[in-house]
Amino acid sequence: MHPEMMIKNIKCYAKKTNKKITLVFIFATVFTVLIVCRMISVQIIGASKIEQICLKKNRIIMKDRAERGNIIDNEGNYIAINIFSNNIYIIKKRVLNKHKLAQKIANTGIMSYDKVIAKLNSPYNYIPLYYNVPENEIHEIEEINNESIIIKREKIRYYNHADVFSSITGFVGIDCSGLEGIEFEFDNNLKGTDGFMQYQRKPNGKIYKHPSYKDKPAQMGQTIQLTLNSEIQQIAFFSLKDYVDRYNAVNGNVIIMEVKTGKILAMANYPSYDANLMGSGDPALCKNYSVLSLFEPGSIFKLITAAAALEYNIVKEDDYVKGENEDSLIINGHIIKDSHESGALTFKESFIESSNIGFVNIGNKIGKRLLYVMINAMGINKKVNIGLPGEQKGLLLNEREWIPIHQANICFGQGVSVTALQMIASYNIVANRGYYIKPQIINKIGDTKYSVSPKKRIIKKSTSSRLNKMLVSVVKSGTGIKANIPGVTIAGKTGTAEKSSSQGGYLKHKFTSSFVGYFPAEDPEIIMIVIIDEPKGIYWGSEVAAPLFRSIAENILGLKQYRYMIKPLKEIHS
Amino acid sequence: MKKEQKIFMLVLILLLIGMIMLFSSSSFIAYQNKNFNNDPFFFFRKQLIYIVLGIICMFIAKSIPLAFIKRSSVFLMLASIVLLIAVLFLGPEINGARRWLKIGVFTFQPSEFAELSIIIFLSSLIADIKRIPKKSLITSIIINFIVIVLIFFEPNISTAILLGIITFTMLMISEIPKSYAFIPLSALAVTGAAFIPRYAYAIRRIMSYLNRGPISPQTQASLLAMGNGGILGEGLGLGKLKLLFIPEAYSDFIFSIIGEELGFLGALIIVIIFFWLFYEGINVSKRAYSPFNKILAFGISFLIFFKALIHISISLKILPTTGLGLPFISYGGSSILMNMIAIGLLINVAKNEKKYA
Repeated sequence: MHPEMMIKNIKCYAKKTNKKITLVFIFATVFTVLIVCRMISVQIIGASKIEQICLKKNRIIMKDRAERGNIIDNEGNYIAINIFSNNIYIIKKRVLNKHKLAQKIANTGIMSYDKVIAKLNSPYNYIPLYYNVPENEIHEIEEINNESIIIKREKIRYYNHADVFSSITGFVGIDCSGLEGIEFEFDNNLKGTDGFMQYQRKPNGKIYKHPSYKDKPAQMGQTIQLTLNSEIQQIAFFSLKDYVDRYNAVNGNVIIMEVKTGKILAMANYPSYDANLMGSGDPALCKNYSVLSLFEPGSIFKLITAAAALEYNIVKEDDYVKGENEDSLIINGHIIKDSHESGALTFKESFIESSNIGFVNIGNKIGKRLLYVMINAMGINKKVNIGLPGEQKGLLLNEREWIPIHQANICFGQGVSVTALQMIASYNIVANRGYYIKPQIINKIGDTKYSVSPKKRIIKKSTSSRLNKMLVSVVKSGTGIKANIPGVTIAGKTGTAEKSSSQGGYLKHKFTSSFVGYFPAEDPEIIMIVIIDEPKGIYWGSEVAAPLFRSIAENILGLKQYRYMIKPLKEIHS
Repeated sequence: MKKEQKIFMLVLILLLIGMIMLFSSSSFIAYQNKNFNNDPFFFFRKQLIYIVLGIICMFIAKSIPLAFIKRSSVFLMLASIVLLIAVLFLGPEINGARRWLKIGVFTFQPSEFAELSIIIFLSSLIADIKRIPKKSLITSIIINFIVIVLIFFEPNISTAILLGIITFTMLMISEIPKSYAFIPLSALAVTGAAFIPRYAYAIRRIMSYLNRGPISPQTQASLLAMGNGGILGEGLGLGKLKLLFIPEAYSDFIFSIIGEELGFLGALIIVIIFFWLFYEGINVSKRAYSPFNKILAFGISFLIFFKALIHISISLKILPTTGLGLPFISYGGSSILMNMIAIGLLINVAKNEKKYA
C-alpha cells in the first residue's frame, strides 16, 4: 500500500474512532453531571430528609414497660404492689429432647414431669413455664443450663393479703392488664404509660444509640389509694369467714363505712380467692357480693317504709298499726304472717318487733305513690356508682305496675332486690341526719383526691332522729339485742328475708340473714351492714347477722382510733 | 505543563487525598481490632508500600515499548486465565468468595490483573480487527468472555458486569461488525440468568433497589454520612460513618467518608479530578496515532473513570451496593498496583503521540 494512502486510511480511521470516543465522552459527562446533581440533592437539599428516611428504616424501638401503680389503703399500707419474680420461659424451637428436658425440670422439684410435658405441647414457641420460682430453687434451674430455658427476672403483681382484699382489688392477667375489680375499673390509671428506647441498627447488626434519638422513659401508673383500712378490712374479713363457715352459709359480705364521709373502711366478701394466683381459682368465687349480688332485703327494708310514714306525717310512733287479733293478712290470695304472734302493736313496737302485718298496714296508709317516691329517694333502684365493675342497679317494679301484694311485700322488704351497698347507703341517710352521702371507695388517684359529690338532704332532720330512736330501741330491746355492746349505743335493724327462686315464688328454708347498724347512735361514726346468704340451721338475722355485727363492732371499738366511743362504765350504770 | 505531567499530577493528588482519607477512615478500626495489631497505621502503612511500588511500576510501564505490550497481550490474557483458575481452587474463601491469591506476605487480586489484561488484549484485537481472520476474532472474543466468566465465578459479579460493559463499549468504538459487539453482552446475560439461583443475593439486592424496598444498611449509613457532611463537611477525621458502622468503609464506601468529612465541596473536587483525568485520557486517546495506542488510552481512561463513577453512584444510592473500590483512593494493594500500571501505560501513550505529531 502506498504510504500516503496508509496515512490517509489511518487518519480516516482515527476520525471515525474519535467521533465515537467523543460520543462516549459525552455520555460519561452527562452521567457525571447527574452524579453531581445527586450529590447536591443528597448533601445540600435533602440532607435532613434523607436522614429521616434512613433512620426510620433501621430504627429499633424497644418498649419500656411501665410499672403498674400500687394500690394502697387509707393509711398508705400496700394492698397491691409489684415485686420481682423469677419466671421461667421455654423457647420450644430450641428444645432438642422434650422428655429429657421435662425430666430435668421435674428433678428440681418445681413442677411434675407431666405438667412440663403438658406445657411443652403448647402450640406456641415461647412458652411461659413457671412463674415466681423461689430464689433458692432458681439456681437448680440455672444448673440445667439448657439453652431452651430462659429465666427472666420480671416484675409481677403481688397482693399483700392474699384473699382479704381480692374481691375489691381484682387481679391482673399475665399481660398485666386488670381483669377484675379496681384493677379492671381503673386499669387506665394504674397501667401508666409505656415508654420506649430507640436504637439504630448498625450494618453489622449491632445496635447503637443515635445521638438525636430521644427515649421516652416509662411512666409508672398512678397509685390508687382506697378508703379501705387494712386493719378493719381484716377484722371484717376474718369475722365474716368465721360466721360463714360456722353457719355453712353460701356466702356473706360486710361493708363498713364512715358515716359522715361515706368512705368505705371495709368491704369484705367470703368465700374469696387469692388474687396472686391470677384468678386460677374458681371464677364463681371472684365476686364482690357487696355490689354484684342482689338480694331481697327483708326487714331491714322496713326502715324505708318507716321513713316515708314519718316524713310525710302519716303515722306517728305511738299510733296502733296492728289490731289485737290481726294475725294474718290475705292479699291477692297470698297469706302474710308475722314471725311470731303478738297482740296489738304501735308503729314503734311493730318496728322493734319487726311485724310484717304492721308494716303492710302502714304501707296502705302511705299509699303506693309516696312509698315509691321514698324508696327511690333513699337510693334504691339506682346505682351508687362507687367505681367497682359490674355494680348492680337492683330490681323494683314501677309503682304503676304494683298490685296490692306487691305493695304489701315491698313494705317489709320482699319483692324488691337491692345490693348491700345500696342498703348501707340508705341507712346512712338516717345516721347522717337526713343527708345522703355517696359511698366512696377511692380516696385518691395519683395525687388528686377523688371528687366527693355533695351531700343531699333526703329526709328531715326530725324524721331521721325519730328513726334513730326506733333503731336504738331495736338493739336495746328488740330483735337486734344480740348486736348490743355495753358502753356504746348501737342503732340497727335485723333482717331475715326469704330467698326468691328464679322460677318465681320463694324458696323454702332459704334465707338471707342481715343486720344494718351504726354507732354511737348519739353521734354516728361507723355504719355497717352484714349479710349472710343461706345460713344453715339458725337463720334469723337476730341470731346470725346481729352477733357477727357485734363481733366486728367490738373489734373495731378495740382499735386505738375508735376507743373513745366507748363510754366509761360509770356512765353506763348511772 | 505537559500532558503526561498533568496526568501524573492528578493521580498524585488522588493518591494523596486517598492516603489522608484512608488513614482517617481506617485508623479507628485498626486500632480497635486485634487482627490489625491494634495499630492505627496498619492500613496506612500497607497502602503506602503499595503506592511506592505502584509508582515504580508506573515508571516501568511508562518506559516499556507499547509494541511489546501489544505483542504480549495474548500472553497476559492466558496468564489472567491461569490466575483466575488458580484463585478458584487455591484462594482462601473470604465472605463466601474466592478473590484473592496469597503470595508470600502479599495478597493479590487476579481480577484486577485481568481487568488491565482485557483492555490491552481488546486494544490489540481492535487495532488489528480488519486484518485478522474472522475465526481468530471469534476465538479472541471467546477468550475474553472466558476471563469474564471466571471472574463471575469467584463470585465477583460487579467486576464481571463492569468488564462486560467495558468490553461492549470498546467493541462498539471499533470497526467490528455490529453483530459481534453483542456477543459478550448477550453471553454475559445468558450466564447471569443461568446462575440466578446461585446468586440470588445479588438479584435480591438489585430487586430491592429497583423496588425502593428497604435500603441496605450500608447504603443507608452512606447516605446518612453524605447528608451529615453537608456543604463543608464535618471536618477531617470527624466523620462517624467509619466508626464501625460500615465494615470496610475504607474500601467500598470511602467516597461516603469523603462526603461526610470534606462535605459536598470535597466530594465535588474528587469528582472533578476524576473527570479531569478522564478528559486528559480521552484527549490522549484522540491524539494517539496508532489504533492500538488510541484504543488502549481510551480503554484505560474509561476503565478508571467508570470504576470511579460506579463507586460514587453506589454511595449515592444511584446503583445497588457492590464491592467496588474508588481507584487510587480505596484501600487495596492489587488495585493500586494495577491502576498505577494503567496510568503508566496511559502516560506511555501520551509520550509517544508527539513522536508522530
